Amino acid sequence: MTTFAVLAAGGAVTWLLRAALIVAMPSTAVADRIAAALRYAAPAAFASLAVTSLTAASHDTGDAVWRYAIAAAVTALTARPGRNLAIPLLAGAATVTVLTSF
Amino acid sequence: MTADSNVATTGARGHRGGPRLDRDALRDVAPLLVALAPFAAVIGVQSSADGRAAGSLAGTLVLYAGSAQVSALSLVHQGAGLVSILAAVALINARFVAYSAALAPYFARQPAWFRWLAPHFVIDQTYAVVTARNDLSDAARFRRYWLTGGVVIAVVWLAAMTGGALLGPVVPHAPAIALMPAAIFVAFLAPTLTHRPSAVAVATGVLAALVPLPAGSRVLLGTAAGAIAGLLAAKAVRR
Repeated sequence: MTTFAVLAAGGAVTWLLRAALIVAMPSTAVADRIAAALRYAAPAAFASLAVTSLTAASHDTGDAVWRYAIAAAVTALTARPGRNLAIPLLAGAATVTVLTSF
Repeated sequence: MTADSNVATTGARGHRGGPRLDRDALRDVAPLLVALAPFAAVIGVQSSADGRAAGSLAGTLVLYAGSAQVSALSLVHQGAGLVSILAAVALINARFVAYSAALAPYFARQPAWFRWLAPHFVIDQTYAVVTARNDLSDAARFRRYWLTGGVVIAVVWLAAMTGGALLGPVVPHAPAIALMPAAIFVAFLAPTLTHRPSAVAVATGVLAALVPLPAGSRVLLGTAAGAIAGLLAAKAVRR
């Protein structure tokens, strides 16, 4: 399974989500019900992915997971709606660099 | 405003009658590119560190969804199966269904090729800029605006990711690079935590993802449990 194949398959699935209501069934009532049911799926998915990514980072580098958890917390504290994503990412990167240098 | 006056005020025809770019679309997406470009560059660096730069670059415009791409690459790196990865991508991109519903009236009077192909550009940014305007009711004007915004974002996204992938080999494989996938998810999440049902969904997702299962299963379990918990919390808040 190549990276391109995975992304292409993901692209096909995503195209269905993007186009279904435009091409096949442009019904706002149906869309509203689907959107309401899935409203919290994205934050829950991101939270789960953050956990698995933190444990993977710790496993890959051999550093304790708490160092990554603290860096992730700093990232969260510096993130704001509408703010450039580079700022919290740099804050997290700086934190984990300091914590793992001891 | 008529289609012709729109062309006169917002369109720019190339010297040889080439494709016209919509100036309003360029103005609207320019500030968004400042935020998108570093994100794409980080994905490029991370892909390079994982040895997946070529596949990631080749596939990025096919998927055209940054957070879903990070999720997919992260799960590939963790050894998840294709079904788990696609389910995660579908759940993360489920919001596009709602965006498409809101944008459907703009597509209704478009030619078939546009209705089939142009939904590919439905992302957070294009949805935001279109719904913030009230002068896109003309079919030709919307088509030009939509294609300009979508293509410009795609070009900048790919360029920034390519830059990141090229820089990747000279960036040492440091803990800061290993942190990036998790940091991106956290940076997306943090601003939503002031909303109680979202916070409940996130907390449940975190707890469920700690269950000792393969990575793909943990993500699906966390997503399902978190989504249900968020809905229940929203219902409780309304009472």
